[in-house]
Amino acid sequence: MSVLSQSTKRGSVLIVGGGIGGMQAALDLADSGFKVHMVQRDPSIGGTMVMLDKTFPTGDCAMCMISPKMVEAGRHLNVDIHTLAEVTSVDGDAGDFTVRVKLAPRYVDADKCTGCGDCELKCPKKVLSEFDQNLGQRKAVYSLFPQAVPNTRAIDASQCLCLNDPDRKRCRLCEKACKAGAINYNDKGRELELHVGSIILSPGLDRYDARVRQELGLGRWKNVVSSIQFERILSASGPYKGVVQRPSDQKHPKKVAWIQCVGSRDNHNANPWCSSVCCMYATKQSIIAKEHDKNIEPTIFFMEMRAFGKDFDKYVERAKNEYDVRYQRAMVSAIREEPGTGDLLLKYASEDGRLITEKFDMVVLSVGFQPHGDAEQFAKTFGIETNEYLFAKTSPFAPVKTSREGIFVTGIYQGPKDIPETVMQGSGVAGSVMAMLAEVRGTEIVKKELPPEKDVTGEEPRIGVFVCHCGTNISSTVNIDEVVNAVKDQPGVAYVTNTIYACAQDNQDMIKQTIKEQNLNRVVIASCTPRTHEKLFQETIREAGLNKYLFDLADIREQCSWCHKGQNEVATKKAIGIVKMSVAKSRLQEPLQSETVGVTPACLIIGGGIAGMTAALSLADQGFPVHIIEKDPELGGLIKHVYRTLDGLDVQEFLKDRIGAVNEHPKITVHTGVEVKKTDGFVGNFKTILTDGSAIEHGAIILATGGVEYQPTEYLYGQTPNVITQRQLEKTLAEGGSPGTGKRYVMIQCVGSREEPNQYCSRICCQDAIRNAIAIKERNPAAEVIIVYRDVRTYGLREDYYKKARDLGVIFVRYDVDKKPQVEQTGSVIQVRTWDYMLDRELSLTADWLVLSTGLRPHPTTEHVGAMYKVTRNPDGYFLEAHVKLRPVDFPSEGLFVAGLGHAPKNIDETVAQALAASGRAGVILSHEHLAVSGIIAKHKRELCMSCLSCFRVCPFGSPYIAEDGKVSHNEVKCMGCGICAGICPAKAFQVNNFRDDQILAMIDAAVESEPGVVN
Amino acid sequence: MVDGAVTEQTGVSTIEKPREIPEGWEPNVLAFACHYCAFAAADLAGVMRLSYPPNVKIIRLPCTGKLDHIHILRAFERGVDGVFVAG
Amino acid sequence: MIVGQQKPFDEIWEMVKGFKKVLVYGCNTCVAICHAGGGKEAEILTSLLRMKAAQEGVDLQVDHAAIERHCEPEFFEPLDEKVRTYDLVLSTACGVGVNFLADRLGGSMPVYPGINTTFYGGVPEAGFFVELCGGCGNCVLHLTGGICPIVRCSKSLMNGPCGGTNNGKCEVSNETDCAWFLIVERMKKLGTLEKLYEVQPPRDWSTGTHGGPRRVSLEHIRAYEEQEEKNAATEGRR
Repeated sequence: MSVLSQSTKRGSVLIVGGGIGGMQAALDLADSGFKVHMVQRDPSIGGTMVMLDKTFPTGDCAMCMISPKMVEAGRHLNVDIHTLAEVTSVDGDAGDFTVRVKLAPRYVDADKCTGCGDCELKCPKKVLSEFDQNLGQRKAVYSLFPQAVPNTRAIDASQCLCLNDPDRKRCRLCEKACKAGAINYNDKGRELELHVGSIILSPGLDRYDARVRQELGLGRWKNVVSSIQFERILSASGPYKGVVQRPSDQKHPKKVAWIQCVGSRDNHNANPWCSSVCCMYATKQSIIAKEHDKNIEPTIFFMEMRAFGKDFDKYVERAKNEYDVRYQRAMVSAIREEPGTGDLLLKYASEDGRLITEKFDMVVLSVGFQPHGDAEQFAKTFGIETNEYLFAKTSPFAPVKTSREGIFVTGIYQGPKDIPETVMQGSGVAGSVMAMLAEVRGTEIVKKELPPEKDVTGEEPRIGVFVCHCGTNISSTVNIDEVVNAVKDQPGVAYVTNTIYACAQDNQDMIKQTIKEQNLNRVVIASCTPRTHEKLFQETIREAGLNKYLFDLADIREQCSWCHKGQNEVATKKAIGIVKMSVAKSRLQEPLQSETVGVTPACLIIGGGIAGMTAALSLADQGFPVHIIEKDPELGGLIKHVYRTLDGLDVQEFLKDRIGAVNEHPKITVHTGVEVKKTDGFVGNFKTILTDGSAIEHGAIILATGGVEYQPTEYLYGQTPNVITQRQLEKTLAEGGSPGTGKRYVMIQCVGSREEPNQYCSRICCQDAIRNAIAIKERNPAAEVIIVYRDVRTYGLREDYYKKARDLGVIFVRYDVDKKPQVEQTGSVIQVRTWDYMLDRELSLTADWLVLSTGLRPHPTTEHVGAMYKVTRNPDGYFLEAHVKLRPVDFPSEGLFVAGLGHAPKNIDETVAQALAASGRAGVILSHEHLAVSGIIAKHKRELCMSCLSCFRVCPFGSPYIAEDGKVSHNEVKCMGCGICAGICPAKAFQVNNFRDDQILAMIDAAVESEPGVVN
Repeated sequence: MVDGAVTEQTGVSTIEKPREIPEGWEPNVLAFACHYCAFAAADLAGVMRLSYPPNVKIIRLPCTGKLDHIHILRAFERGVDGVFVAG
Repeated sequence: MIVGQQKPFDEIWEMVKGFKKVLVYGCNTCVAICHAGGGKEAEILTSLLRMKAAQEGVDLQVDHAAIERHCEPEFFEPLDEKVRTYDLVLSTACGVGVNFLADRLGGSMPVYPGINTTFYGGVPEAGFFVELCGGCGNCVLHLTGGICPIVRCSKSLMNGPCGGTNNGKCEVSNETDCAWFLIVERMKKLGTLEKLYEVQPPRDWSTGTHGGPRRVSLEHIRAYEEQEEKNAATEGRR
């Protein structure tokens, strides 16, 4: 890079849209030396995921997963969140964009607002809640949802009584209620000018408005709800508090129907693409509904069950077998309400053509995604090209790059996808930006200067207790003076006072001042939850020179005043107990030093396929040395046998280009014909020895071990030359083979997939079949193609090609796994017999070529590599990521990442995205000179340890290990502080910092002391 | 407890003795909650202003796997009437 | 490793309830590793006993302690004096430890067992213990492919399986592998199957628990200790 170009690039990034994809990109970038500006239309970040109750296929609570990420993004020193904001113009070029942002008035001063919510309680104006999809209500001054970030209310100008009064005289109750003086009816909004090196678009998508399809009755029949409404119904924090009931009469429904593809896969009044997620969320909703109320009988009306993701087919099987979910293959043509009962009559045709009317208590419409209404203008503002449906245009070989240099895209704006793929693209886009702005990394970030830490070892505890009123949030229920008095005489307490808002800037200063004046060496703040405020207060006391672990937060708001309203006496007593427990713990607190470990800024990548090479190039462009280990004599992997993508791009050309780039890159070393022999170390500090004896030191590892194709044994494969695989057909077509007129190709799908023992979808085979079928028909329309399939899984925008194949005359015949096609050969004739469910009789097809769509398997080396790096694999042999939703490229052990077919079957664009994600995640680690180890870790006392191996066997992170002397030792760098080791250790050799047994026992004692009359 | 030393005599006097249940008695409940899920759920209950009896106090753990038998036993010895472990 | 299991609590309570001052005494070696009687379990048991006493209205003081090992005198010494202030020691050591301490206290006070000593076993996974050796004093594992017919065969047969062998499982329980099935399979792999044609004579059980208490005396080590004592005596005289 020349000096000139260095000086013109900016080390900051704009992210447009604060959903889960944008947040992932923001955190990865901000954690690795880039300043991030996040622009979000809504008053809070969070996007679509925050509205969901649970997520498939694990049933994890969506909010529990996303909330910590939102808090982290909200508190990050290098993430600036601009809400109620929209970009109005983008000028300049890649590396140095000038962006103008318009911020709508919030009418609440975010600097003054403490998020206490007093204004909301007093606001008299109730409006329908858009977050609860109009099933619940909110106020005119509101927060989008309880866990909103930033935790600042906003006034809805269209609803506020005061703002709608020209004289601004009406109401003003919120202004009176706000003790912080944060309400500002004269807010005019403002404009911002940002200078950034790169832009990431993650605006998410809108949902199809199912009212358009009037025959389904949404908005007309009360008990027809959209799927997103049903998510809110299921949510414990939703309008019905998690009780499944009908909107019309609150009756608990028994028969509930889900109708799939509402607004998707439909060229009339709707969208032609598949929304990719509805089959799975309907399955999830039916399972969760049944878990809420076992009397519910779910039926899912669907065209094709597209359970194409990792472990999705198993989930659907569970729904069928364990939850009695009925899957009915039919399109519902109309829904009518039965007069008087609110019940719904569904009309549909069964597969054999019979017309059926069936009654249900409630109907859920599985609505799909579509671009926002202003998508055209949005693309124009950023100067990017879209496809015909107004999604951002990308190439399968560069799935996060838009048409404009320096502007990237992530999430469903690139095409419909689920959460893990959005998160993958989020990290992937971060990796791409890191590579693009490598030389200006660290130039615009803010760092905090801190005073030296005061040594308090050996001092008697001098605890300062600050009891917060939180405006009236706490003080209207808890008598603050009584709490102050009760705590005063507690041993170790040197100073107690009250404060109106502990978190407000002036009170923070007061706390710092008091620490110095009173010579405090421990601080307890009694206010709100540690989950949102602990870090803030820890920083406060650190700024006053105290070790940040000499702090405890007593939660007397969320866990006391807010839930015991009107019970002032008992609530006060409980608050006293909670504060005494904190004081008891605080007394035993000790300063903790966060250790740091150095980082070797190099990466090892196992596997030289497209995943490995993509990750290598991205990391090398970021400036890190990369070693690719490939056991074959040459790079390429499975993709060597793929010629065209579904949209017709030349894969071999792409592969050649990648191999060339890898070989030429000065930072990449390729080791072919070798494998890993031995490996050791931990995040930042790995050492790997190869079978050729060479030793490599590196800070991160990416496992890109790839996959292989299933070699079929069924359907006469290998017994006659006319039975081939899709890959073999593809090769003949690529070599210019021309299908003969009148020749008939019969293709059988799901060969070696979706049945025991391989109960998973290989994801690529439907597209392989359709691509080859289209190629045949385009070369010779007089050739015949019949695809015998179970479900055609052309998810997302791939649906176009399914339609194209049908338009070209490709015939699709469905089969069931219980009635698999029978293949026989007589002479040179291949006969395929299969049941046709539409005709309700057996079909006998003569085939010139029988083409088998064979599935994928993990590469055999996965087992060995997995064992060596102690990473788990799922029952199908694929690597198991740290979390299937939010950590799709991480392993539980830090510093290890996964990409490509070793993780699960996927297409080229998805492999590239995951490889970029792995490079982004690895880049976060490698960009640090040192990594700080958390203070909250388990400490191991070796002199107490009996090496019984209990800890070693139960630790999910592999931090206990058998040392060279043969006894158990503990690697604190790997420790996440969960304390499972401490719970199981029979020798009590482990104690978790700040959660030590003596501290917990002291809290228990304090909890009981504060209940006089109960004990003794 | 340290190897090779008899622990301090902590029992006897602080153990709650069984007695008649007085009228209007409310059990004193102690909850051990995982920071990431159950503690967050307790916070959410507050945010949603759900009302529940105030006779439960929460001790936050980094994970319920951290819980030790002795925590539960100590609570009961001291006279806590119910222990709720959530994670 | 010696594997033990805590006795049912009611049984322990029956032993303990008549006393006034009880020490629950843990051993931090084998029984700690099997989560039955180390310092941690002693503390848990102590707490349970205190609560039971309070519930029953019995005046009972219960404390706990633990030392490295209950089968060697030196480990006991630092606590000897304190131990003697109790009415009862409830030992959570293995049976060896209970005997050893009871001998040591020489009838001055009772020592009761808090655990049942179960077997010599391995720990194939956390929380799972299996019996693999009977301590018979006359090892035949070289003849049986490393699989002990004394404890892994329900009948301790020495010459092949009985008629109850059932597809590799034992007739006693189909959760138990037939040891002789395992032995044959193992010896096939080792290529030493022909060894099994040698008939084992009736077994001499006198080396096991049937021949009275067993001793092992290592003269070379004992001689060393005697010499040390002599030296100390000589030095003392100087």
